[in-house]
Amino acid sequence: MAVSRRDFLKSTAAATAAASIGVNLLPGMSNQVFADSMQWHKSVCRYCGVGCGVMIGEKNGNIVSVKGDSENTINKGHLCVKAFYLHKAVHAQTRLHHAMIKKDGEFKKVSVEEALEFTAKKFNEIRKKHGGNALAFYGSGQAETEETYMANKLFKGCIGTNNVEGNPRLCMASAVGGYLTSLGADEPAGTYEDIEQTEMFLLIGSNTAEAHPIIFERIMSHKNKNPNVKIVIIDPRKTPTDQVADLHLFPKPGFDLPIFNAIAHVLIKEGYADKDFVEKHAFIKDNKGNAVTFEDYKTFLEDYTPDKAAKISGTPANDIIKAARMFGKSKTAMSMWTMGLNQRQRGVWANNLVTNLHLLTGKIGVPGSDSFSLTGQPNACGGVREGGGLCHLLPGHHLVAKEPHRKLAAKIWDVPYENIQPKPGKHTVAMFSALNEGQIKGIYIMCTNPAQSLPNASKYWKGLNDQFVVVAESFFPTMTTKYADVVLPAAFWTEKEGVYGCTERRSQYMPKVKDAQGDAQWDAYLLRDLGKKMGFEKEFTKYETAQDMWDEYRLFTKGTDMDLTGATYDRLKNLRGLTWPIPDENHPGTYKRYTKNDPVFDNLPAEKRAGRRMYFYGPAASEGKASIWMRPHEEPAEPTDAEFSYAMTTGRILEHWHTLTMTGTSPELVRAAPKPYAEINPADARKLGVANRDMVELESRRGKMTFEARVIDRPAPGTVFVPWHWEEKPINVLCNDAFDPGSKEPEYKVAAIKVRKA
Amino acid sequence: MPISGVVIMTQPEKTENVLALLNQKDDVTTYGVHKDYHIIAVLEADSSRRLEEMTKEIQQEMPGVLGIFPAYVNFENEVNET
Repeated sequence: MAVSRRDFLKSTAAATAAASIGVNLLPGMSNQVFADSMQWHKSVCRYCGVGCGVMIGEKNGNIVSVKGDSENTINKGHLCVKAFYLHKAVHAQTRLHHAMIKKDGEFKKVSVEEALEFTAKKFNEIRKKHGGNALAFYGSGQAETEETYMANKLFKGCIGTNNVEGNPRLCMASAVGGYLTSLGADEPAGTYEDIEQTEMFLLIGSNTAEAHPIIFERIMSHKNKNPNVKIVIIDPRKTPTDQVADLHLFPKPGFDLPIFNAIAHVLIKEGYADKDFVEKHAFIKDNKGNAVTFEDYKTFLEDYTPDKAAKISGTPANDIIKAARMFGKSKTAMSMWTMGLNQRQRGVWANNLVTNLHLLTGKIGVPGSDSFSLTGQPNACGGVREGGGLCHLLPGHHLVAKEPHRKLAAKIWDVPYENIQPKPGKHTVAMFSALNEGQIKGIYIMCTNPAQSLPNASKYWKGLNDQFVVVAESFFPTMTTKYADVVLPAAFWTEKEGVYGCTERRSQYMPKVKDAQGDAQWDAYLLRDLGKKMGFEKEFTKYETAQDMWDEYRLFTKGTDMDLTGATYDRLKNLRGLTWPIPDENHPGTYKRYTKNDPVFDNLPAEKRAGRRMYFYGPAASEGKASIWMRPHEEPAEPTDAEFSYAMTTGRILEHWHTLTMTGTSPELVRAAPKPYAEINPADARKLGVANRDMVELESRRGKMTFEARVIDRPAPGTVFVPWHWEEKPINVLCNDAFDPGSKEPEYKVAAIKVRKA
Repeated sequence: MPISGVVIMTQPEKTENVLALLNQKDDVTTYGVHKDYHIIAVLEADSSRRLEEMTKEIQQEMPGVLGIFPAYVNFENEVNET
């Protein structure tokens, strides 16, 4: 019987979907299903930080199909709806095909060679006249590790400035600070494997259903099979994640710290604390870091009764008690959070307080229990946190402030030790302020769109306008390219190889599947060649392939808590990634850190492990102990008041991602969620006299904008939610750029606003 | 014409109802309820946009749908048309 192409594709689609849940839908047809002329390539999704495995179907140099990688342990063959648009981004009309230099206010097409020559000349002039610290690099959690690695070497190792930052400063820095101060080392102790083993999920400031759909699927699937599994949400906004929640606490934005202390209060009062675990595995510290006793901690928490927390946060005391009891009664618990916790003036404290609950009850270091930060970008962990793409870091969790680390970097990079400055450079907000003030006179921006994404964004347009700006991008135009003096065309996903490291410490290899479009080049090569043209020929000649860069990078990690020695390209090309530490080429990767079967833990002297099930060996820990912190309540930088009486918070929606440079390239997606809008609670809408789809004006102390009102029972009364994706209404202009003094992460999630009918 | 094989996760008590509703929709072919209350379906559309709209409609209009997860998407005609 003849089978049409359409029938064939339909059978393939059905059989692949069925196979992803372990069902053989069409017995006897498996050969036909996979006997297509397409070439399939194992890769990783370009969008969020979950790290889903994607099989890319290529035919005649085009990406014509994608499917979930059924062998990938993260997504097990499933994708989210953004998969419908992966090909659209690759083949988008807005792809940038050539380099440009701005002359007399107009972009002129030039060769990449000419653009790099021009950039090198300008950068060298600035460096000669004003010193290396007059230059800066601003990168991305979407860049590959190899790309960030090249930038780090060029700026920190050769130019001699630590003004190297990346957009993960804006989304994950508080999680980094939280892990370092609580557990002594960055990144989670566990992995996604804990999801199917836990009895309780505590989801905080995370719209998991829309922002991390595959994680949500795993959570739902686990609960479907185990109805006794509890899900508690702490978030000022109701989201699709609520479909499966047992309890939802709605704090006023920025007022949740007392809730965590009150939960700890109840846990201790009702006997759920594991004092033996605490005694052996944790210091208890006051807010200044001084060691105190368990009794001191109890006394501190006595002030945080559920009633008091209820009064501050606006969440009923009974709900706080219920959440605490669920946490206490569950044998295992997994906390997950994203920007709702991190993008805060006290984001590090908030992270500490969540991890406190795990340390206090011993719900860490065992299957099903972890304090687990979810990531927003695909390589924020791998490239920027691990790769050292922030102003105080060197690759492999090393610090510029430590002399042995600088010596190691100088040796590996083969640069003079004196080149690497001991003082951290400028963090993101300080970097763009320095552009405004003229202290930084030249910046190279790679794979990110700060003109739209910075908080209080319009404040920083001056510096971008005044100084020499180079933007390396795959898409044109963006809000940031408008300010560029030079635009470099960057190869996009599928057009380059490299490694992404996702939320769960997993490094995964992505192949080059097709040639880059037009003159576009791989970002790592653009940086390498810029380095050569700036006079660092010797330092950059040796990098001929992506593997050259990765192999050198792995040297930084040898013997560290994030050892990638065993993660060779050969292994990564064949495996579905490896979770570090991976100390040798036979090591299978590590599920749980700080405990048995973690190679670092297993190699500790016996006396250190004696009588303990965990040993926190990270660089910021002492005596192998974690830290429980006594963090007090502190209001957000801009609480509501009589004049600015609504709290505005921002976030993602399912159909879009970040500033639309990728999803905005699809006319279909833009039509699907076409207009910027603001969600307003029906009770507030009644008070304001606003009906659904009326226009409303939102005004913060930094500006005002009008949006279409979506009157919906999602944000709690008093809270307005605005998705942050659209260039024509860049809501970040209204956001506050106050930042956490520890992590330097801005408080995007809380701004006081006025709301009126427009 | 893009085509997608999807896994639809449902709430256990509403699975059969979701299946019945799916069977009423044009351009949706179902392949039964399988383990853990998953429905296998193929969505056909004249554009990626329509595919996305269909998933949105299914999620918004059918109580009990917890999520729709594409496992396979083919858009070769759409790419050839670009």
